[in-house]
Amino acid sequence: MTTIKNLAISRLRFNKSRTILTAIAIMLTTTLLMGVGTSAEGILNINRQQALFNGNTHAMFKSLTQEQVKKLQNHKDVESIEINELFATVEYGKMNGFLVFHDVVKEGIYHGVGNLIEGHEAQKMDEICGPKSFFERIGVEPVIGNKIHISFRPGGKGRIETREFTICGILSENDVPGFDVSDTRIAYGASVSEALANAYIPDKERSYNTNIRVVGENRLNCDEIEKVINETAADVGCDKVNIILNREYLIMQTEMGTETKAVVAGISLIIILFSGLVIYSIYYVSVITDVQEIGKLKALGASDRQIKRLFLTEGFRISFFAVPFGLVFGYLIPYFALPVIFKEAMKVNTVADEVDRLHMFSAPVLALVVAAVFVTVYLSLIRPMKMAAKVSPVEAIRYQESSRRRKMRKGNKNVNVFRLSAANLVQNRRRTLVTMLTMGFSCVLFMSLAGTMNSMSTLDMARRNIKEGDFRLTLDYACNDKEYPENNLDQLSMRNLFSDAFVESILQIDGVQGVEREGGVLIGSDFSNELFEDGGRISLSWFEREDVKEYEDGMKAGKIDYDSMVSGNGVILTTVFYEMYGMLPGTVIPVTVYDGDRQFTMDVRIDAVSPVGGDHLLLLPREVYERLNLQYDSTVDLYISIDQNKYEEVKDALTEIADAEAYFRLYSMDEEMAMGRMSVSLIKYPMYLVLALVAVIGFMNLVNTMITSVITRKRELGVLQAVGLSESQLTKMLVGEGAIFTAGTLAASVTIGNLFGYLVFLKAKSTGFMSISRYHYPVVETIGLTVALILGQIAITYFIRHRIRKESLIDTIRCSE
Amino acid sequence: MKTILETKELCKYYGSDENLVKAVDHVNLKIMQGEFVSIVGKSGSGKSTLLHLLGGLDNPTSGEVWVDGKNIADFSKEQLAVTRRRQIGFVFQAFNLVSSLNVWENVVLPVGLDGKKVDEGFVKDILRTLGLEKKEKNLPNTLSGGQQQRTAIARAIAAKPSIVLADEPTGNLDTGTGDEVIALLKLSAKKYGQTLVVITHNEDIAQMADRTIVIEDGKIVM
Repeated sequence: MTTIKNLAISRLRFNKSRTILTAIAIMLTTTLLMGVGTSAEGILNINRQQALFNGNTHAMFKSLTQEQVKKLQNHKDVESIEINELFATVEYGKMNGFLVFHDVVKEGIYHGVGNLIEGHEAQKMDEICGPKSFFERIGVEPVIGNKIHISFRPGGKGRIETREFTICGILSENDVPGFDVSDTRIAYGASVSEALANAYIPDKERSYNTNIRVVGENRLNCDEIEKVINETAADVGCDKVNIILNREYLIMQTEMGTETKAVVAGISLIIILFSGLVIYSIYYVSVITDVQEIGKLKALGASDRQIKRLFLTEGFRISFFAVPFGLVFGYLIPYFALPVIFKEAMKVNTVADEVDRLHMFSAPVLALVVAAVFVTVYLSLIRPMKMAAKVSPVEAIRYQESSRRRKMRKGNKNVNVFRLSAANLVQNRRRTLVTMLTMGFSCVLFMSLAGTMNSMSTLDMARRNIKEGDFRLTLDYACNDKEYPENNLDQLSMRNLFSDAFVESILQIDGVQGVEREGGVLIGSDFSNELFEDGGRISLSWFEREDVKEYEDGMKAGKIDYDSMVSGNGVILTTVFYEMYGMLPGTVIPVTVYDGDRQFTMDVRIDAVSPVGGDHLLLLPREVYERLNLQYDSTVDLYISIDQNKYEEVKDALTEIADAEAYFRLYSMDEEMAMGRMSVSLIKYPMYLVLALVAVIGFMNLVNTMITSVITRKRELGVLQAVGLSESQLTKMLVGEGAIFTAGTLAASVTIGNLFGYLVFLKAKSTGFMSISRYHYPVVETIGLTVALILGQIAITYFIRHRIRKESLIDTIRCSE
Repeated sequence: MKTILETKELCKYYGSDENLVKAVDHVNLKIMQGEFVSIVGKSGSGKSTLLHLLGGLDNPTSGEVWVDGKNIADFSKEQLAVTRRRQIGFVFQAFNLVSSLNVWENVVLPVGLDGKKVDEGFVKDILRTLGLEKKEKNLPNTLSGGQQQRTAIARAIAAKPSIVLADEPTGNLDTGTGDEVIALLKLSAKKYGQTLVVITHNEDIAQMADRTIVIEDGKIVM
């Protein structure tokens, strides 16, 4: 045993380059696994803190009647209930404000914000309780006892009422978000008394959003709790679409569901498989190049078992040395990186709050990683060990690679440097292939993820609100305001707010380059469904031939044939609830178009369902829309493109315009991008970190192959130099060999890699991951990968050449004599 | 006749102080064009080191090597490589063929590295002379020791060098094959007017040479 151990140690010392490479590969594998484990632990921890901080609700049932709330109160599975009713919207300039009536029916629910920090809840008709920002927004000092006049519309649709309230309590709230977001994007809420709600809203019109907790949080897992919630909802007659689960909390607080477990296991397996392949390839190459050495040992009497043990000892020795470093790096990288990322996120996040110290260390994760690495090393050694054990002493001493398979070579009449490189790679084709495959695999992994990450585009997220240009000036219209019909689009369009003169005045602003209009018109119908009930109206707009691709990408049902839609009044429906509304493709709907004070009827045919977003439920081909010959200008949106150098000036001018008209709302690209960036950065950068590690491990493999390939051919290279291979030719030859590896790897990554990338993207899209909607080819990543591979390969070549140069030619030739 | 190879006070030392080994010690030597010189001496006497220094494979500690009237110390690495492939042919004791190339490719390698077109007729002639015409496409590992050494010789003379340096070319061969190889080398040297420097342990071979140099402890003694 000691002989084998000593031999292993001296071999490790002798093959220094290989030992270092293997150690680095194992260390990186450990770093990767530990990093992923630690990050997962950290993210879980922050989510847990966040979820706990946000409150302990299990789910919310929307729009329950008083009857349903009563049923819920008596339900055996319900532990706690809290009701919220949107009592009224606040009418105060452009303030996005609302008043709620809030009541605890069964105790046990708490929230992160909105808790009473001073005073008491509203009890009397004229009492109001809210966060400081609410009162400040209306211009009243948030002090208990202060009087405040508020104009409000009960239920958001009644007549505007104005009452005087007394501030009776102050609620806790989040700090104002750290980035510049326009006031209209912030919602301000306060709560009023039950007495007030009762006075304004008749019993039969009550509609409560009900937070509940069900019994059994401690014993049920996430999936089971979800089942209980769904059953409870069914029992009280709450529609599935009205159930909103508090998933963050449920996932964090209960046993992981089987699905989550599967995902974690899947990711770990991919990492293990990948690192295993790299370590395997390093040892595979070692055994091939060590055959003569093994043969000598066998000739001296080493048994198969001893040879196997020799390799195993070497592998484990290196691991003992490399794993601790990997563990430390794998822990430290997320330890320092995660808080920075979260801090960044918190700057722009409107909901996240101060997080306590992150707890990322987990002994089970550590133990699991150590076990996984050793198992990986062992598994990747099995085949090389078997190969080594099979080597026969005689064959080994004579051994030259591929000696059994090839005797003849067609060859070339003339030999040049390139042919020399090619001959070497073809001769050692298995080694060449294994290297290309592992390199390729890591690059494929890189490209697959890069495609998806690249599609997580901030721009796409921003473009959901601003379809084109840099600003969107939109009309803040209603469809069905019965009390104040002047708010409705049909009435507003008669005011011609977006007149040609107005658009001209925008074009006159210094820096504005162009303005695009988008129109919309209200339609009603006798078609029987929730949308058109009680004279309900929705808005209809247009799409163009060049938009077809985008709608096809998000299509849920039907077919888009632009020409047939033009001839047959075909429309695209943009809601996922098309089945609930009974609006399946093929359905013909008779509609009334409300063109200002004029009305006319027409039939539209639902051709396709594509919920890609936007404000309008139905979209006609533009030609058909124009054929409607609307009497009034139906513009609802202006998309404004500008000279980027004048962004701030234009924004100020547009803000002024938007502020001057109550019905205008302004969306600006910088704010939309800032919101998008926050959601993307949370996922994207940790993923890039993992990718970088993957790339480095794969690269180690190339380094290993090239160095081994040179070390084992040292004598041959010496001979080549002795017969006249000059240094520049040697460099050319090594570069040529590396170039073939690089080319093979790149070919694999851009073909298989991009294909997989696209599949991963489709999967991400179908699961709604990060709202990915459009595939962006990872151009920068592809170029980056290509450049990194080429530069890396050149660097290795020069490093190797430098090493060879240090020895005199005759030493190189003699080295294995 | 002109001097093709010359050394002036050539020294090659290894180690230092008590461990100093004088592998080649102040050697002054002149070899004429077309001459067949054998170098003999005991194992470790410095024969191979001298040959390597003559061919520019190793750097001297001091002293000079002149090839065809030029001091190789003045050559750049590139020029040295060019000189090696054009003017010097090496035959090593351990053959040192390139395992991934077949016999033909090994033989034409120095010509190819020089970027010149292979004189196929000439190479075929060499292979025929050396009895390798049927082995052109074989990889080195399928050849016997003698065949490999003959391939190495073919490689050494294919670029029509003016000097052939052979380090115990028969050391790994049986007597019969050894004699054959030397005869071939001599034949080629005569045919192409080459200078032949051969290291050998073999008395018979040494006697075939025009001149024999005996080396002891790095010094020429005869």
